[in-house]
Amino acid sequence: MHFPALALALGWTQLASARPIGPEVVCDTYPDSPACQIGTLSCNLCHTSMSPVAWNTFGEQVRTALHESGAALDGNDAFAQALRHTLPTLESLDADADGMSNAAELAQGTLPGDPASSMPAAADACPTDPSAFAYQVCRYDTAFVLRKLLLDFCGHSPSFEQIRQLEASPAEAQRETLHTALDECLQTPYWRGRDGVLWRLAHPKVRPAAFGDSAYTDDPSRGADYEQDYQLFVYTQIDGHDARDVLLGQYYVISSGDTYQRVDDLPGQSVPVERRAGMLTTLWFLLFNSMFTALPRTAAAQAYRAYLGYDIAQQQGLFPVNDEPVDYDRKGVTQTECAVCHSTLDPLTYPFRNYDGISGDVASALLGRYVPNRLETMYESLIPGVSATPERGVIFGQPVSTLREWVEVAANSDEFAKATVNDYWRLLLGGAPTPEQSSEFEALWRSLRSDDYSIDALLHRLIDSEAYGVP
Amino acid sequence: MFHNLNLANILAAGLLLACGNSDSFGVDMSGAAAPAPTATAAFPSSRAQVRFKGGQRLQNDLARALTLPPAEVCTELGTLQCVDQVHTVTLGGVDAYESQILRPAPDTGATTPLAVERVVLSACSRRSRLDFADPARATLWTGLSLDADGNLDLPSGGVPTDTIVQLYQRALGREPSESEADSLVEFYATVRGEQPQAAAEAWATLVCFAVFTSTESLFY
Repeated sequence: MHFPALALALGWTQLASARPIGPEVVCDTYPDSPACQIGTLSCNLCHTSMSPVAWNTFGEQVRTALHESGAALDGNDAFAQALRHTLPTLESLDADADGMSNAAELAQGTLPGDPASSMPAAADACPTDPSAFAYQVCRYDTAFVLRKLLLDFCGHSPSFEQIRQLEASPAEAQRETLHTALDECLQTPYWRGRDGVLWRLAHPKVRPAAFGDSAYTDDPSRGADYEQDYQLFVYTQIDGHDARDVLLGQYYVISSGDTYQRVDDLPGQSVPVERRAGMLTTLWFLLFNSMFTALPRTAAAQAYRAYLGYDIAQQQGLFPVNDEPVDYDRKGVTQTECAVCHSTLDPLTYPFRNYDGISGDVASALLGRYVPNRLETMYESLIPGVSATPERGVIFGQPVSTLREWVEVAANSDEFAKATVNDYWRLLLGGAPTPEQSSEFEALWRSLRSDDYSIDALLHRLIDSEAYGVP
Repeated sequence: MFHNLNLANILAAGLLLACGNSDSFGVDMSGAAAPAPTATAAFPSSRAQVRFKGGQRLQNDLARALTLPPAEVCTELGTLQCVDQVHTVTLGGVDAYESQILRPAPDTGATTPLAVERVVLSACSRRSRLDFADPARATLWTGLSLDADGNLDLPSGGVPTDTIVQLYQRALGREPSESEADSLVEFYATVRGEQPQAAAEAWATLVCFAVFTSTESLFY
């Protein structure tokens, strides 16, 4: 493709960088796209590389069209407006020359700039008599599901007698048998016990670590271990409890065997109840993710990744805030390359400003605390100017004054529901939802609200789904 | 354990036996033509949502099917648990606390089949050893008629197909097809040819191994 030399000279440099708000604008324009519903739309819609920035064929079409439109592209707002106008003009084109228009690919959830991204071939023809085969391909197979669910939730296969009994019962009773089996499995140590399935699901959220010869973790009386984080997580996922309490909970949990009990306080946990935010303010979370940092960006990024499904390190979930980042702690984050992410990350971090990870010397360190005026009293002398950091921040474009407000917005967001369902989908189906599964995935995360965020209810819906039950 | 058994040869034969059942189990991902309908045939599925059972589930299934305590399914050096301590990550598990391996690997590794076979062979060996040492208390290999050399007394009892049926029911939750049962019966002659003494126990171990390492057993 050839471009006028003058255009190159005048405007092309404005388009020579990635625009992290791009996916957000695309999803505003095509809200029904499966990639938006699943939450998998990312920079690879337009880019083959972010560093150095490079575009795929669809990205090049967008880039060219934006330039030729002559629209102002300075700043996020101008870029977003120009992109909204430009996208519809590209719908009839076929950027990757795979025979499907850009619009059709966006509608079905494949990438219009990647010829390798396509829907799987049409399903094989279904057998005329599925019951003549070992698996009921093309229809819900209760024997297949019984084996799957017992392995997934109880950790073992069904017995020969169980399968025989199921197959001998009427169709409606078979479904009931499956749900009864699920209820029983959800009470087993395999599912809810220490190092059980739920416990393991929490590993990437808790991120346990052994500090070798550490005075922090070797002394149990200091409470600096992650056991309580696992207990809190599992409690929120069982017995119909509200899964949002991973962020909203203002309590702790103790366990004995497979029994979990909610308690108001625990030794070592010192954050005042009105400042607590579920898994984000436990001693371990603050100790491990904030440590000695004035602005605990790692804590905010981990919260965003673990509970909302966005990994900022992979440029996901970027909602840039105008005039950010300010760089209160003088880390150089206003550099162009850094600002791409920090214009989202830093406002996400500000509400964590008074939550302290570790302070004092090793032998007598204070761990995981809420310290009013923390930056003023503990860091201003080390980093002059850092105390100007506001507690007020922004998440998903919404201003919030405190971490409590931060988690209220987060826990009630679509992103939380999608991320929660995605955890279980991946666990039970072995991968992210495919474009053709997007409608079932969407129905599940939307149902989480009407089910009062009960994971048990979610799992009952999930085993009924076509994705789970049709071999 | 296997006396003078040429383990490598017989194991290879057992594996071929397990792979050679064209009319058995699993989702066919090859795109080959659909098989004729039978109770054990699988119609090709375009979904291919097949997942490895993993170490913990494998151990649980072996323990239940072979009536063994989970801790006795497989140990290394007689003390370390194969699934929970030694081959955990290889078998699709995690090691969060020590190695910060927080999620299972997305795919099975090159050594996963070795670890699977080690676990299954250990469990199958233990079951047959216990059953042949004390037939009165046998739980799987029951009612076998043996001669003085520990071989099946074929004229009086023949190869025990009832036991093969029981093995299939316990391992796969179904009965074997006729050809599957026939394959395992015929396999006894191979074992007997390799091992003049105690062929029955070796055969029992390898039949168990063949069924538990089948695609149908290891994936779901």
